[in-house]
Amino acid sequence: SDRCKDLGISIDEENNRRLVVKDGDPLAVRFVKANRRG
Amino acid sequence: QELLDVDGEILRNGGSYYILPAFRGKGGGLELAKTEGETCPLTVVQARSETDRGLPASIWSPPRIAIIRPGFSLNIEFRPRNPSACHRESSLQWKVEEESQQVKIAVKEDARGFGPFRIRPHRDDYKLVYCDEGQKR
Repeated sequence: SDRCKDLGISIDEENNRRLVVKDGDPLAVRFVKANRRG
Repeated sequence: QELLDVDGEILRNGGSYYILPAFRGKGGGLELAKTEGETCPLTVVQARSETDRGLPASIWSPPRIAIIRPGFSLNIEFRPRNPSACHRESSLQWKVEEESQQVKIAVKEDARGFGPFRIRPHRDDYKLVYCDEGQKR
């Protein structure tokens, strides 16, 4: 069985968009090279 | 299956990347913030501003393989260009706090070899997942 759970966003009362375990509601992400030009 | 960055290049093991949301209008890249009385920023959050790319993160797996694949157990560790004095006692390696299920950064003793995170394809983009079993290796 798959023991992996999605990481998603939970907004707290101070409006922080916290990264949390939130299975079934993942944050869709992309990766940008840190040393990318332009 | 290969994992690609926004330029269509394969994700490199140990490479440094900004982790950005795939969709616009809901905040920027992943970074650190102080929450609930933390004196240093220890909580992984999405930047409030959409134009903020967040902090660069090194994504790595112990096997000496040049690229990252979806099945790999990964560590994710912020590597800011100018680390603050606040973080001298912590690594900036991600962990999931068991009780709250929030992603925080680990104190140095908690930093581990095989990480509990993976990157998986999700629709046309990717998602990050947390795998408990990764902690036991």
